[in-house]
Formats: sequence, C-alpha cells, structure tokens
Amino acid sequence: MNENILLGIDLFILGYFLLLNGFYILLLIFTNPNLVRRSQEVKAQDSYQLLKLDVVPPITIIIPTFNESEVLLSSVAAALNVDFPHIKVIVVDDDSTDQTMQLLMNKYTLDSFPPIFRPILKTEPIKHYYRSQSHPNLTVIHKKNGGREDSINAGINACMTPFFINIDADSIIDPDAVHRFSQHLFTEKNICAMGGMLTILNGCTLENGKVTKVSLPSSFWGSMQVIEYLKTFFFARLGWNQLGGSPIISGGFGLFNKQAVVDIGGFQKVLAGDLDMTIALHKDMRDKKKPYRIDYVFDSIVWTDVPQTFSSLAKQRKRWHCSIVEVCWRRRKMMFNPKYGKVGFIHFPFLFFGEALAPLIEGFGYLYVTFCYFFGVLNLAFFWYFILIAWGTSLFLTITSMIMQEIFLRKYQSIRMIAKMFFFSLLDNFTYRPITVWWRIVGFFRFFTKNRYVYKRGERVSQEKK
Amino acid sequence: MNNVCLSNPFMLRHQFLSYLYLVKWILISQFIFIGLHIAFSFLLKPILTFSGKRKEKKLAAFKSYLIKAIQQKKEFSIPLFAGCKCNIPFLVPLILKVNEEVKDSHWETLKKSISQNLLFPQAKKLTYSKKWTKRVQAAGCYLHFPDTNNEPEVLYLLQDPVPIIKYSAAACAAKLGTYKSANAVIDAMSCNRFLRHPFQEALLGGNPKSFDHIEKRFEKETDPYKRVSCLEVLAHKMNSHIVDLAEKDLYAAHLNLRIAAIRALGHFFEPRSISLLLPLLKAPEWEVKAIAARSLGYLKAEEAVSELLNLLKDKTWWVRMNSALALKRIGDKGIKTLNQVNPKEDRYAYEAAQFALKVDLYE
Repeated sequence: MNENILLGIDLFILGYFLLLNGFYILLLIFTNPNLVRRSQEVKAQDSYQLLKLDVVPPITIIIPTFNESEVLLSSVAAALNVDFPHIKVIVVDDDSTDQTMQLLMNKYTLDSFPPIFRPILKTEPIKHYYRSQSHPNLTVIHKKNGGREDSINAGINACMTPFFINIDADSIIDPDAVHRFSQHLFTEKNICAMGGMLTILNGCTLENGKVTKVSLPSSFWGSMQVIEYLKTFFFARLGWNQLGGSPIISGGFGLFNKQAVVDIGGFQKVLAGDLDMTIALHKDMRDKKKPYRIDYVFDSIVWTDVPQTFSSLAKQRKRWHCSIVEVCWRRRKMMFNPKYGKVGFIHFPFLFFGEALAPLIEGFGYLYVTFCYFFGVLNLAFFWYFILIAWGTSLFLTITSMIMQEIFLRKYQSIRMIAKMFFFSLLDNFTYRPITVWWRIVGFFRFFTKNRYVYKRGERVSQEKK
Repeated sequence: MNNVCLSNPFMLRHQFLSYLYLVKWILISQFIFIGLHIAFSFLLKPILTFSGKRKEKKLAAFKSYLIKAIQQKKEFSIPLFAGCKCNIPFLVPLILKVNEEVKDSHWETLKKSISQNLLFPQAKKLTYSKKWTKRVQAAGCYLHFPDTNNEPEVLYLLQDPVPIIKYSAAACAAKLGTYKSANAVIDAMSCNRFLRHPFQEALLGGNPKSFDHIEKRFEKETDPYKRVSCLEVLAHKMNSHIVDLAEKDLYAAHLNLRIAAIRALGHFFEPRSISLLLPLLKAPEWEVKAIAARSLGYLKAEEAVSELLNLLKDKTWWVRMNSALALKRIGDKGIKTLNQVNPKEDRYAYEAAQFALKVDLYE
C-alpha cells in the first residue's frame, strides 16, 4: 500500500472531523447571544403585558391528519387549549379510512358550513368544511387524499390570519408555545418562519391534551432519541439564528408567514416537505432581495410521538436521510452561489457535506480503521487518543444541551432522569450512533433507487391517561 | 462524524507526531471553549434567578409600602420613592400590580403624579434610543399611562420597525383619541397590506372620539388605500352620514375600496342602502357581485330576492354561494325561493341552494 495514499486518507478524515466539530462548537458559541436576546424578549413583554392586548394579530394552527384517530383528539384538545388571545385551529383530514371524522364529529359537534375563502393553492378537492358548535375557533376540512403537504396547503387556503403554525396530528402543543413564539415574532423584524422545539411525548402522562408528568420513554431507542433531540434542537438549531437563519423548520412544529408560503406555491409534495420549504423560503426571499428572518425559538415546545422500536426507527431514519439527499439534489444550484449569500456558502455546503455525506465518511472511517488494524498500519495509541477526542466532544455537546435544558426548559428535572440521560449519553457514541450511521448510509443510497418514496407510517399509540 | 480514526504508516511517524501535537491543541481549545460555555450556562441562570428574585422582593416590599402610603393619603413627593429604583422596568410592573388591588381616587391622582414626574421624563429619552429594549420600555409606559402631552413620542414609536412597539404605540395613540393620533394610526394601517388587524383593533378598543376624527378624515381623504382603512374601521360604527360617504365609493376605480364600501353598507340598516346595492348585483366583477349579495342578505332586503335568484346561476362559485346564503338570511321569502330551485334547470344553482338550506348560519 502506498503510504502517501494512507497519509492522504488520514488527513482527509482528520480535516473533516476538525472542520465539522469546529463548526458545531461555533454553533454552540452562537447560542449565547440568542439566549440573552430571548431573556430580553421575555422580560420586555412580561413586564409591560404587551401581548395580553387585543392588538396582537391572530394565529392559526393547522393540523394535517391521516389515519391518526388514536392521537388526534389529544392534539386538537391541546391546540384549542393554548394560552393566546386569538387562536384559530384548522384540522385537515386527508380522507382517513379510520374513525377520524366520526371522532371529530362526536367530540366537537361539527356543522357543515360554506367555505368563505378563495382557494389560493391548488389542492385535491375538498369534500366538506365543518365548524364546531362547541368551539367556534375550530374548523375541520375533509378532503380527498393528497398527502400531508396537500393537506397543509388546504389548511393554508382556509387560513385567514397572517401567520400560521403547522403541527403533526401526533404532536401535543404546549399551552404557552404560541405565546412564546409570539414573543419572538413581535419583537423581531421581518419574520418569515420560525421553528420550535420538539420534545418526546413517549413515556409522558397526558391528560385532556396536556402533558401532566414528564418522564423518559421506557425503551432504549426512545431514551436515546430524547438525548438526540435535545442535542439537535438546543445547540445545533439555535446557533443558526446568527448565521442567516435556521436551515430547517421541522415539519412537526413551525410558524410561517402565510404570504411568504403562498408566494412559493405552498408546501411541495416531496420527501422532505419541511426541509424543502425552508430552503425554498430562503431562496425566494434572497431572489426577491427582501429582508427576512427564519429563526428558531428554543422554548416554544411541542411534544411528539417518536418511533420506539428498532425497525420503525430504522425506517424513519432511512427516509429522513434520503430526503436530505433529495433536497440537496433539487436545490443544487444554490450551492456556492453568491446570489444566496450565507445560504449558498454556509447552509447548503453544511447540508451537503455535513449532513448528506457525513454518514458515508463516518462509515468509511470505521472500515478504514478495521482495514488498517488488520494490515498492521494502525497506531493504536493515536487511535484511542482520537476516539477519546471524538467521544469527549460529542459527550460535551450533549451535556451542554442537557444543562441548557435544565436551565431554560426545566422539563426533565428529576435527578433520576438527569442521571439516566447522562448514562445514555455515555453510550451514545458506541451504540446508537454507529447504528444510525448505517441507517443513514442506506438512506443515502436509497435516493438512487426507485423505492425512495415508499413510506409506511408506524403504529401510533395514544399517550392519553385512561 | 466523530468516530473516525487514523492509521499510522510507520515510515511517516515523525509527521504523525506533529499531528498529535496539533490534535492535543485542538483538544485543549475545545475543552476550554466548552468549559467556558458550561460555566456561562451555569452562571447565567443563578445570576438571572438571583436578580429576578431580588427584584421581586423589592417590588413586593415597595408595593406594600405604596399601598400603605395610599391608605394614609400621602401626596406625591420624591422622598416617597427614595427607597426604590425609580426606573420604568421597576415602576410600571409595580403600578400595574397595585392597580389590581387598589381602586381609589387618591391612587389615581398619585399614579398621575408618578407618571408625570418619574416615568414620562425617562420614557421621552428612551423613545429615541437605538436599542429596542429601551424603546419597548417607553412604549409600555405610554400604553399604560396615556397622556396627550406624549403624543409626539407615541407617534414616533408608531413608525418603529419592531412590531410590538408599533402595535403598543397604535393602542396608545387610539386611547389618546386626538385627531392627529387617530389619523396616524390610519396611516400606519394603510402601510400594511396584511397586518392590519392590530391597528383596527387598537382603534376599535380606543377612545370613541377617534371615530369622529376618522369620519372627518374620510370626508376629505383621496388616497384609496387610506379610504379603505377608514371604511374598515368605520364599518363597525356606522351611521347615516357614513352611509352617505361610503355611497361615493360604490363605483370607485379601486376594487378594494368598492368592496369596503359595499361591506360597510351591509353593517348598518339604512333603507336607502338597499337601492344603492341592488344595481351592483349586475356588476361585471364577480367580487363586487358576491359582496353586494352578502350585504343585501345582512340587510334582509326582500327586494333583492329575484336578482339573487338569478345570481344562483352565476358562473362564479363565490357569487352563487353568497347569493344562496343571502337568500337564507333574508328569511321566509328567501328560503321559499331556495326551495323552489329546480335541479333540472341548473344543477349548480340547486347545489348552492341546498347547501344554504342545510347550513346553520351563525351571523
């Protein structure tokens, strides 16, 4: 083996590692000004009670649903219970084959009513519009099946407010989530979209659409995802506010300026509707040379149901990674395009090199070490040293996220939960991470196959207290 | 990408040693950064909690002191506030809390003195600050203590780029109820195509005098966008005079203005409005026909039944639906007409009629 080749590979892997982790630490540093700014926003509005005034514009929550009757009622109840003066809720049923419509009819006494809006976005035909007798701010749309994005677009057509929030039917919005969103929305200029934090519902106790007791999920996969979500949402997303805006507004929870979404033709029926939407918003705003912000608000929370089993998690991760590759391909013209500024030079390269290609390089790293070990060219001391650095960095990022959670969110508070989370974060790099790398590699190659759009949703179990 | 490893070709050992040196430094700097960050995170919360608790304690102590002073009918004097930090972030929440507990005429006088002597001088300075956190203090102060003497500052804040400051200033300007401030809110409302709600709500919940000023403005205003804003607000406080004014816009060149005028007429029962709206059912624009039909429905105009029946056959869904609903709103005569729609004659008209008949109207 030519030693120069080995050296080249060494340098490539080392350089990639340093660059990516250096960037993560930069993001971590950038979270600080956001934390300070957030404290100012909360203080300013709480002191003068500005948001309690009627002058605050109304906001609509859109909940698209398809065969999720087990969890939908809790989600709708949570949306109707949010603490905000003017809230409207639109549930869009994508022609479910289960009891969704019947359950909604019974619980909310729905009456058919004539739609009083003009459809701006093209969607599958609407079967009926309903308004609730018991909750006048609740509208239910029953439409022909067209997919999640199509349902959101139907909700946007019926949305009469300048901003809307979309949440999944398996998610429970926190009572003060909209209030916290609005604290940022009305103190920042030119907000185009905002992302909130997704926390894990599995294991928690739910009563009448409200999370009454927070616990970690009982399964290993569920607990690992708690740590993963905390790390992703706390440091990786917040720091982006300083770097030209969040690269992704999660499909599970996001606030959008209705007009901005309408201008780009609504949500597109692609694998990663949320990621594509965020990138499309960045693109459109930069094309129009309009000032805009796509921010992330870390203390606006939605509780979401996550896959608990190995197979369902594998399916989800493969699909997620395949969708990242798809968006990179669809929007490839933005890469290093000076027209798109930070998005072209930071967001997109990060999405491609730091996300889409990362599992391939990491997987290659594992293979390369094995190869070097068997051919006797591995410096074991250096190897262990390097592993420790990688593990230490990951561990510290996790712990920092846990600390931030403890300080600012205060959801997982008991010593037992924190100890359990700490234990799982120790295991992360040697158990959960290599497996997700494999799923992501499979997801990457799935993009080049015909079955990339094949997706079967996992089983849903209501967390509502019986 | 963390768990990647490096090989060590033995021939290049010396180079690897230099890598090790580099990696060591990176490791140290990483740990320093992360350590600093953790220290910052750890320190931030206790600092915030400590200062918050201290402020709360001070606030509670001063609140009870102030309530005692009110009970003793003490007059305002600077020494009365000697023990407190007399800034807006301290005083405004304090006054709001005392407001919840004390309903007393003496408190009202004392409050006025506090605002004039302590709060307004500070707020005036903060109004022109470059920092939004300062300007929001001024906005909060003006909002809770509206005073016409602060009108220039309030109107300045109405132009603020931070939405919540702008909305608070609009609410304050509407409370002042002066000609200048009511007009400034209308101007601000006209600049916004989508976020008009805060300004409209501010005027609707503000000083009723604002409506007289807007009415006067509407008489003279020539800008169609501003006329639309005036009409949208005045539609909630209609009178015969406004009907006279809106009548002029029923055939305006600006479509939104026409629609606003038609909608305004539907908000107030004036027999003359029916004859004004009837010809609009034959307008070439479907939007005009649909809104005119809706307004006639609200006015329960039986004279419009035959015309509305014709519109059930209109090619635009909106027109058909609004006409059907208008017929239902008109009452017995309209419902009878809806029942007589023949499905063989026009399937679309029949569907619209059936829909209207089934639906429960809330309005």
